[in-house]
Amino acid sequence: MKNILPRFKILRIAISSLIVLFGFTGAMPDLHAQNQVITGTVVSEDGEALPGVAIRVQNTTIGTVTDVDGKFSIEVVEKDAALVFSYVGFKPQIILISGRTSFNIVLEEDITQLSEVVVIGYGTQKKSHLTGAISKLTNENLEQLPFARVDDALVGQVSGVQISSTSEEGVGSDPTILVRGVGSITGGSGPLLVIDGAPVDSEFFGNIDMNDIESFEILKDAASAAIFGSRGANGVIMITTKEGKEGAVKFTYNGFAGYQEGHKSEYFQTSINDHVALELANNEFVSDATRIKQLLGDTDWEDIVINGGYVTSHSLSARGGSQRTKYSTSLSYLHDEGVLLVDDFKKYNFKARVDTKVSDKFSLGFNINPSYTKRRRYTDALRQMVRQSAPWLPERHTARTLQFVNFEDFPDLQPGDYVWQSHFDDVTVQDVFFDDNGNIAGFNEFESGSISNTGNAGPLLRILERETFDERLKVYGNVKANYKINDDFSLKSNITVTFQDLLQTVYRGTESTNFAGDALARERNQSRLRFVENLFLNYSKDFADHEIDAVLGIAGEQEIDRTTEFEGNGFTNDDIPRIEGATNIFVREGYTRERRLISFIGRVNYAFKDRYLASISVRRDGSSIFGSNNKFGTFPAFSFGWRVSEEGFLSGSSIISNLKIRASYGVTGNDNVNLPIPVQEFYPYLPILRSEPTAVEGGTAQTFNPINIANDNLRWERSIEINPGIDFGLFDNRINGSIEYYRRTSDDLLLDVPISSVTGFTTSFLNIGEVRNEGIEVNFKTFNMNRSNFKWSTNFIASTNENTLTDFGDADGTVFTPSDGSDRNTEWIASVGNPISNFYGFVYESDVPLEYRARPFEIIGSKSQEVYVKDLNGDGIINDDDRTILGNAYPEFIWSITNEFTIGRFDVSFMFQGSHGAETRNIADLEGFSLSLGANATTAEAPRSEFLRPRVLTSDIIQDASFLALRNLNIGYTLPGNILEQFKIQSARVYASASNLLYFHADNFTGWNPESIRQGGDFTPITYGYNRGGSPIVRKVVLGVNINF
Amino acid sequence: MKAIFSKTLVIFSVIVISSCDDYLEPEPISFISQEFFFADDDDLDVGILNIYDGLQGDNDQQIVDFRSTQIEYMLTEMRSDNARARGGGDATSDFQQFEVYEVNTNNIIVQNYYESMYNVIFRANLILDNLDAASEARRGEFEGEAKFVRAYVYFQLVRLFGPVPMPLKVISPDDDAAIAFTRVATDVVYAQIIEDLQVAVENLNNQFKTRASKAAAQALLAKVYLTLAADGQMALYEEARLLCDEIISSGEYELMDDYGEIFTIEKNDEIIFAIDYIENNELTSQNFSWETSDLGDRRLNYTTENIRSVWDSREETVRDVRLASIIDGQFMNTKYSTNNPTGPLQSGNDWIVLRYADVLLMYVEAVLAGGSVTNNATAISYYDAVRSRAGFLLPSLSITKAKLLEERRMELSFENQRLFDLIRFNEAINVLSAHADATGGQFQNTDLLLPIPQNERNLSGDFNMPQNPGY
Repeated sequence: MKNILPRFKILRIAISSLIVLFGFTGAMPDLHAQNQVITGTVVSEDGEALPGVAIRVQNTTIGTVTDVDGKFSIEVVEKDAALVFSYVGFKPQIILISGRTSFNIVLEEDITQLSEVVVIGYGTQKKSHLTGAISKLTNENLEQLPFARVDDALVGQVSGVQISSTSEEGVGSDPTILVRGVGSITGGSGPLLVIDGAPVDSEFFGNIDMNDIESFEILKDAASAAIFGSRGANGVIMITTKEGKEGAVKFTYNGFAGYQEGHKSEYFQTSINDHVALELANNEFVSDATRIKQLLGDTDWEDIVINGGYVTSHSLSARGGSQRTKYSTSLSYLHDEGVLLVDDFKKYNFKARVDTKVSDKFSLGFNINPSYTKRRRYTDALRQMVRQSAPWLPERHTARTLQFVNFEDFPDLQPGDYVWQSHFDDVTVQDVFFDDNGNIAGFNEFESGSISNTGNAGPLLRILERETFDERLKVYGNVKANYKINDDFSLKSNITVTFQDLLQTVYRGTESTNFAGDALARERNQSRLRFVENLFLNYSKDFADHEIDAVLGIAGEQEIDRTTEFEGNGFTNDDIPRIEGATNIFVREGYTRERRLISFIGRVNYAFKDRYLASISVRRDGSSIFGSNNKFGTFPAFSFGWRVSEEGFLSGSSIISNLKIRASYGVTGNDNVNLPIPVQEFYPYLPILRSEPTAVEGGTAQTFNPINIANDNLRWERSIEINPGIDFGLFDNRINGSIEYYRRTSDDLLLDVPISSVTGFTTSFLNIGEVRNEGIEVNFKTFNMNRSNFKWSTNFIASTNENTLTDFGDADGTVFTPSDGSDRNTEWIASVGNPISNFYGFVYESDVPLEYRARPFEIIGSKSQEVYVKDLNGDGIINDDDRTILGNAYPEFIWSITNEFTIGRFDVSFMFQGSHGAETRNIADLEGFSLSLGANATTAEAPRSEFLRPRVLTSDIIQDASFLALRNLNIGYTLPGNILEQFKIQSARVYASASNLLYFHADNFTGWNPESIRQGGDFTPITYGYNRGGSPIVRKVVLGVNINF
Repeated sequence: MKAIFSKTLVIFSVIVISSCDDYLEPEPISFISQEFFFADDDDLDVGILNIYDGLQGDNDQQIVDFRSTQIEYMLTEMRSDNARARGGGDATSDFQQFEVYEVNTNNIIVQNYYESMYNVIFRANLILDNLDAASEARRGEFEGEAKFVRAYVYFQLVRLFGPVPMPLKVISPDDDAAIAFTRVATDVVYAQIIEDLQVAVENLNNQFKTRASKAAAQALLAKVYLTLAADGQMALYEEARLLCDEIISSGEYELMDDYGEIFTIEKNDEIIFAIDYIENNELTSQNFSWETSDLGDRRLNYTTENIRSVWDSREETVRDVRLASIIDGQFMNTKYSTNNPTGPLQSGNDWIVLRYADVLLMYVEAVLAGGSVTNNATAISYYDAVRSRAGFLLPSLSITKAKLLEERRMELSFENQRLFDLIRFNEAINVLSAHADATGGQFQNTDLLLPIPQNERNLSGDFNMPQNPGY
């Protein structure tokens, strides 16, 4: 279906369903009282049949909807009745029957979005009545984007929402999602995910099928998110899944297949010949070791490791229903091979949803969605590849490479065996040279010496012989019941159960480690069961100039997590690469934890004369997570709006067709607790005694170890946000958009704060500090062309964010040094007046000249480990006082621009996205080229040695992380109906979709992915922006087909 | 249908509201909450073991957890003339600053030891705060064990840092900041140590060797008295002598015939108090045996040329514990050579705190009572008993202060006694200055105390916790 207003689809369904609902309630007894049947078809201006158009006899509750062919049939009593045809995205039409019994209706598209309905959390609201900052994204063509995860497809789609593929472990990894900047310092800065009204774990982003999704609603300001109380502080992403529609069963198949490749960095493509030239230029001779490297030849390890892959997806759904019962069911499969050597992701998804009206007043709905994913992680971070490989290192041994092996040390090597650098140490090589006639003229003899720069197992071994599989089984189950008490009041109950099970198996093969005895297997079992129960009383009333919509409810949640992890070792072969094959098995981790939440929720939305709008809500949450003095918290919100365009003085305006001024204030909380000991996260206020063995009198006994300090005052992180905004439509809504400003102040931040160790502990989990996020968001949508055979619209979104730490108590100025191996430890500072996390260190001045480097030609592409740094305070010495803030990883400005064209049967859309102002601390290349390898050391003769500092601590590795990408490009062709009819196909569309066809990053960025950020462990929002290489940016092209039959 | 809904509503309300208090406080499953733990003797038994667990310290190669006793040698032996790092002194290395007396206020070993010791004190105070849970019959025993360890820790702290904060109960970071950041005068700390040890002496018997015992409390108290006596409280020499005499005359301890077996046979007759480790289990083993050998990453606590020359000149054979490094010309000490070198975290050698030979020599020290020579027959018999085991069979006619100090050095080398002996014998400044001059160190009189960790001072805010002089 050609429709330039894809975002209207949900509304069609919602409104149609509503009308149907109203149509049948109370109306049925009258059906036999008359017998005039009106029939007809409803089509669009393009002549396409419109299914699901709501038809109502004016001033009655009698109604129906069109079937899949756009046909309808309705019985009316009065001969002079009027029929009202309404369809979301189209202008309503009223037709007088005047005795006719057959009509062919052409509905005109309505490009205003004012009648759209938006899901707002425990309810819906007309978009025109919104007073908070809620972005809605309807899934019209998102399912054709070739992404393994749903959240990856949201990149660049919503203003104020930053989604970055930060992971290091390849396909299927969860991206980092930030809504309006980071407002927490303890890790949990991601938004809450709500599926069909029930909060679920954000991991469901990885399991849900895009084809099942009707729309996304993103609650950005606190007033909108306050309805989710203690968990709304980082925004809320709500997913509404598709439901069945009345009518004959309709099958939809969507499938695509394509190929992808990873972004490579020229920086790592060091060549031996360049190296030889450098060595010659400086030394006037080439070392034996280099000669041997030359003989071994160039191997492009980036090509080997970033090897590309295929992606395939199939999804089949069947939807339909009768007047009373509607169903929707789907099956899908996705296989994404990723772009790295071993990463792989498979997803199987099944969904069934049934909604039925048990009686006029009572309706029930069931929804079950099991899914299974299997993922192989790429665990040996790309930076490792740089260190373990060298351009001269062959991929595997061949008869030729074996000539260069020291067989005294490695007598058993065969062609095809894995290569270690050390295989080529201390070997004497005879290189034959030829005369002009091609005859052997003599031999040159070379000694390799210590040619290796690492004694570790070879790169291919570490990638291929180490496996980590994640198998996740998730089930989302939901039962809901609605009871209509009378025209104004209804009761809604909703019970959701989610279950997820992770089985993670790790195997490190006997060959993959430096010593065979280090081979190990791990098995981690993690299950999570969550119940969410809601009971709501809704009140909805329109009278005179007043519209009131109110809810009052109670919600409860329980979650039980169980984790066990075992490790086994003692492998002497790889025959059973699982824990079952181990000789010794011990428990690495095991815990069960439980959390509970109870909430009381109330909200009133009010509109006067459709013009003056107000919303007030309050939620009171009781959480098991917090201290006995702070179990309960209250989260109020107020917002107001004025639709200026409804006022008389603007009613005749030919320029302004829509204008709304709005403002909101709200309070939200964040209960994400991130602590090194997971079991503690659900009981952070309790003083925990953990079982531990201790030695006593020559034996072992059990004791209980105190691990923390009690804190009965522990409470939510609290965010207060104000959000004034303006929504507008110009020139009959051909240009519409919004501009808003937000300022969110988050205080009582949860942090493991250093305390006096005289207490017995070095940190205590406390509420401390305050951080502010402020910025501007703009959305513009223009309908540049709207002819029946050529339509063009443009959507531009942009947002700014400025993050400032405004209070940090006694911890102001604390320098954090997250641990990542002693020679990679870098510093961050938390300093009031600056962003929440800042790179800290020395300012780079110059490299150490070649002549003062220990062995500058030993490692191809090597750089000095140390560099000269600037004496910032000019006191003649370099000490800690010469460190300064070197940047931060938060972009200041992100934007995207999407153009959609419909030209005849073709449709084209593309989105550019840009991000500016962020820096990254990129250590990926240091590993191989300059870290603490002896060859890169500085010699004692180096002048001004007191001005030398390790490169890793300096501004030299702070790089610009800005980028500009052609994120998506989609081209589709809708096949003509007459061809399809022969095959009983209603509609079919073929498409090509590409992502990241163009990707530009800053000149000084040397890695594979400027968006990559290491997280977890010591890396928290306060030590943010550490780039260890990451998974490369992926470029994909797929071909797909979408068939309805 | 209405009925169904009303029922749902009722059930829902029952689930959610009726049990609201319990509902929001789910019972922890995988751990115990300390708030409700201490109910009876069994719980206190477990809690007491946890105090020793703290003394044993976390077994790790990093200096991040509470390493406790496992890093004590760096702060003590490596600041004496006995020990050095294989790599020698280096003011820029946290591990090699000690031997050149250039200890930084940010030194992570100093900080870690300070943190670990207060963690042990917390564990002891936790028991003392919960003594009401004990039966009347066992209350004294629990109190004695907890107070013994607390006294031992404060004795280490006061000797290493001088005035130190002295919490005597579990303290909170908010309400008790004054306790955490106030350095209590040494005489007050010593008074508390004495009081605690007297309780331990009264309440304990001698059934344990790696837990507190009466003899351990007596021996420790004797050492406390000797320390204070050397500082001018002369009357305490006699108190110390009486305590040593009680241990000796109890007949429960004796010298091992073979000097080497003191360290290879655990919990032998000579041991009065040791800190227990069990090999081959990361959670109960220790790391210092590995780290002080050629196998370690840092290779610390190697022998100095100074002590080797004394061994040579005295023709010490039994107590010469040097072992040549296979790496270069350095010499390790073998006293705690790992009996089980399967991995860095797998050694099981106990750490000996107090043993009978030490008590015999303390008796001599008490008799000498600060004088320069004694010919007390009992003292000489004890002194010669220690010497003869080491192969020096010639009876002594008298004992000078200098001879006793050297004898203690020979007998107790690498047992973290030397630095404190030098201070007690008032020889530290002479000996360590000379040692520093010979090895390139920068010794100053103020180096006898370690710096208060800078981190603590940074956190002290308005309390402005003072630093020791010279730092």
